[in-house]
Amino acid sequence: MTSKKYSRRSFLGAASCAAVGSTTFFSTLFNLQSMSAASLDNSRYFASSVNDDYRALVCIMLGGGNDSYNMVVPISNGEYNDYAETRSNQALAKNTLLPLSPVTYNQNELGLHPSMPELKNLFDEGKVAIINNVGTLVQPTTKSAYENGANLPFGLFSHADQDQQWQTSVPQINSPTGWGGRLADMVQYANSNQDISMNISLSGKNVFQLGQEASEYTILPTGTGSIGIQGYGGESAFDQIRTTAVSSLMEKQYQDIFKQSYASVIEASQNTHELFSAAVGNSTISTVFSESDLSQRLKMIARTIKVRNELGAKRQTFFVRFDGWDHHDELLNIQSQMLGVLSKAMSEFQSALAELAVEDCVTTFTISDFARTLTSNGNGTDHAWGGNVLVMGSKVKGKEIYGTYPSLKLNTDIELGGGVLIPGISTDEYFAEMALWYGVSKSDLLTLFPNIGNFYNTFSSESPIGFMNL
Amino acid sequence: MRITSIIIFLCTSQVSLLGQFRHYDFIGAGHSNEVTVTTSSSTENISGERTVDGFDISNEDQLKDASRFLAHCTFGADMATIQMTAAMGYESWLDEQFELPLIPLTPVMKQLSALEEDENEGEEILFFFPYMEKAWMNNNLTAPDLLRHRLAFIWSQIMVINTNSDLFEDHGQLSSTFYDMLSQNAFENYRQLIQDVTYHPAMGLFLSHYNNPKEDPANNIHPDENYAREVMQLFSIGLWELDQYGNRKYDNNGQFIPTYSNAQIKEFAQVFTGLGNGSEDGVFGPSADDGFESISTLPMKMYDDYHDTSEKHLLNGLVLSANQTGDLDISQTLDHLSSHANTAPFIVKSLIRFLTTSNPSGPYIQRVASVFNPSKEGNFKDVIRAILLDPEARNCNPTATYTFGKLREPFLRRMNYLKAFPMSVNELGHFGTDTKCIGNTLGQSPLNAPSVFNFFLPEYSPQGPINQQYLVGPEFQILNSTNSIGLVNDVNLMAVERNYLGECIEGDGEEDDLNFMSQLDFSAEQAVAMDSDLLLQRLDILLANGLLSLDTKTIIKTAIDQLDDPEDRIKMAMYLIMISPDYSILK
Repeated sequence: MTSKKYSRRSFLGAASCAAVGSTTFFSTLFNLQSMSAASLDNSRYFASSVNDDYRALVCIMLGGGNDSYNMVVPISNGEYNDYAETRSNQALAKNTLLPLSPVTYNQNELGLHPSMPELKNLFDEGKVAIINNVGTLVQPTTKSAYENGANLPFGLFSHADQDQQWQTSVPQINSPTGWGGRLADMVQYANSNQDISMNISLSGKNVFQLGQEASEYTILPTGTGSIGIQGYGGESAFDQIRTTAVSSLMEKQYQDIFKQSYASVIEASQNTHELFSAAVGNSTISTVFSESDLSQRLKMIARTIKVRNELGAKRQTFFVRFDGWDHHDELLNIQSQMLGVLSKAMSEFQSALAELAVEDCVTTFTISDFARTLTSNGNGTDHAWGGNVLVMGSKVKGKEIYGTYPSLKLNTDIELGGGVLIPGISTDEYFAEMALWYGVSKSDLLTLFPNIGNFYNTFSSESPIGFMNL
Repeated sequence: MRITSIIIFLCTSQVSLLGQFRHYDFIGAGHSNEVTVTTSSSTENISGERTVDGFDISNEDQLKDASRFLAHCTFGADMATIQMTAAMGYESWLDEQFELPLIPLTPVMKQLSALEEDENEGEEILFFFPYMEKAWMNNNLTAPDLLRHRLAFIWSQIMVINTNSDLFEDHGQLSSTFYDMLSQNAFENYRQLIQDVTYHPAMGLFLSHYNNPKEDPANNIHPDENYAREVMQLFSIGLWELDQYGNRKYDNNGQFIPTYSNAQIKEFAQVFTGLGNGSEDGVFGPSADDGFESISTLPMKMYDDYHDTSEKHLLNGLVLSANQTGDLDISQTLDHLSSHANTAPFIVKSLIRFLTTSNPSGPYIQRVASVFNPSKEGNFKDVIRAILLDPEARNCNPTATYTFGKLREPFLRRMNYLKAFPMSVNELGHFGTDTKCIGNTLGQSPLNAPSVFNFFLPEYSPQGPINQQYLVGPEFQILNSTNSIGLVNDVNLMAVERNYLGECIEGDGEEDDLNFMSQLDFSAEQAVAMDSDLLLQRLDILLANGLLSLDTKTIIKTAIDQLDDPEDRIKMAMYLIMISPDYSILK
């Protein structure tokens, strides 16, 4: 089928924005290191640029709400006792935790969940950092502001809303776009191949990768990742007739917007498949990955990164969902298994990136709906708010812990009842740090994260949190 | 009460009115006595005077309309069913459907398990989920209660359980009895449904109010909040206050009004404490979960020693008195939610979206909501009538209204095809029913939603023209680049390769399974296979509910006119129809 050129629409979009003097969205864009101010044709610039310019963000969504106060646990005596008292029968035994020795963080001693030895090693190697108590926020808030309902994220504690808001980082509205999508709106046209979205999902549609223009391209963890219409382009008479008819049906313009939307998806999926499968082909990775679904999906991401030049991609994002963290029940057993899967998969992925010599080019990070109540419901925990996250990559200032690990006592200034904690760091700050590494200029952070000004002065010489080597 | 009052929708361009009596009607309503209609308003240019009654092919428009009606409320229908429905009229057809007895899945599942048990002598019978899948397909392909089955599938996507765990995989009776309960309630009322859902152990195990004890303040243990939250957010009132048109209300500051706070969730969580194993010798606590023997499918029962007896402050000032029994607390809470002003528009809007259109008008929602009565016996029958017979749904020129319609659910596409042709069923009931595997290709299969939020969110609005018009298209959420091609290939598998098992046949018995596969009877299509116009006319009615445009027909006709083999012509026509945008969007 004939392709609709992404580049053309985006680039015209950019040009028309510039023409009317708008400074939003496509304007100043990026401070990409060697980008020439005189270079108006970005796609040409990128196409001729060198390999080490490649950058990718890999978002691992821990769907359901990871109980991250059992992923990162205080070890120092006083703090462990607070933890054990509050968490009651959901507390982990102190002697099972994997103690962390960060370079500078010295507020208290913290340990990693016992089922995460691989991530502990990566932490020690300086490739993993932990950021404490991150959550959805419109602006910094307090207990009394919360009780007055002042300018809060909507649908707090609700999966559907918090899952989305961690992806959009615009928690005061039901945002149709995510920050990975808005990012792609800015940079997609810089990739030399405009027919394959720079936003690739191993887990179907997601709002993280949805922009005004950009949308995700979904692939599978098997084969060449993409699938095509059987018999399309085949040589038999039947298939030749089929090919013509399918093209006619899907390329036709429909007045009915539902029909048009359906036809566009089929057409685009087939077109992209032809390009994508040709590029990914038999790309292989020597690093051994586990059989887990997450490992297999990350392996496909590694295979895709391997053929980034064939795909004409200088900038990509990847999204993968690992569901099942809603541990109202059986928290201790099941979270332990799942953190083990996560630890192995992330570590295998980082090894694969080393194999491909792109460790400097890829940053992997976790998000999750929320952390869970510090208090127990008997044999699980419920929906809460701020939680701890992991970020991995060679450009991460690893072996370090960022933000304040909160007191886990009940009835503190940040505790809202039952062990729900007000986040100390907003998703905006967390993501903006990585966006700067990705090449977004500080002034464009305001386009990417409409609330960032409530947390971070974009004229500051410091970065929002400081966990990336920019 | 029937919808017989002043409602105008007649699939005709002219009506001869007899005297002063204005009889507003639509084709198939069964009110067609003496009404003479002059031709059709559809895009086909067939002229001439016809009567509404009678159902030979010359009454093509009537058959198309009946086919479209059945697409709204069943998994699909063969030509005999379409003709019968057209002849009966929709109200009579609904009345007949309402009277058909439930044919439950659970005995079929057990029978299918036992058949294989004979082959594996001496092994313990576990009712693995695959037997549940086979039973589901068996009943849905053969049972006459078409409407009830479709409603059960819809409720299974509103009151969702997720079966992707060892517990549910090993104990298919949890899912089968849950599904049977939904079927049983399909023509009852909301209050009974929410009662049975709340007490069903499958829901209790999934949303963890099974063995959920009262607060233990000394150990900082609070009641599980999972069911308390989802029963409000998803099963009854939703997150935001609604008017009866289904629109969110605003407060004085122009903000949406939340229906509940997190503090109120904690109060509701206290209500749902103390439920556990429903068998006579059941005990409360984790030990009740151990082993296969103790999995009961009886409704959970209340263990009052573990129920929180404090006062509970619910919504709108309602307070449950201290020291009530757990069952009374739950009963009053479910009354409270059932009668909440949100429940009618919230539930009705959801049902409409599954049955007829993704973007119902406010007045459509209001008309149906006004019929919703949670505790009236058999009220769901009134609700179903109101949804299906509403003028907005029975609009006779549906393709002209761009806001009306929905992307067909992918699993329905598969079922539509299988239901359209007479099927010969083999004796072992092999229908090739690894539905979960098929679901991996399509993004949807029975009881296989990834979470309590179903396969797609009701407010999902796909990027592009739908979003630009501020409309939603929930089913588009699972139409990604792999599922979309997957469903085209699934149609290819069925229509071209005539393999109805799906791509993934598990186990060693691949050949066996193909041999045992039920067959579809295409003799009626074979009779007209060499006449492109007749073939397309028939398949348009049968598969596409009369929604094929002239353009689409021309594309398909051009394709089949190049083929000489009658089977190839049939295959090509069916394949192209079932992937076409005209079919894919049910108007």
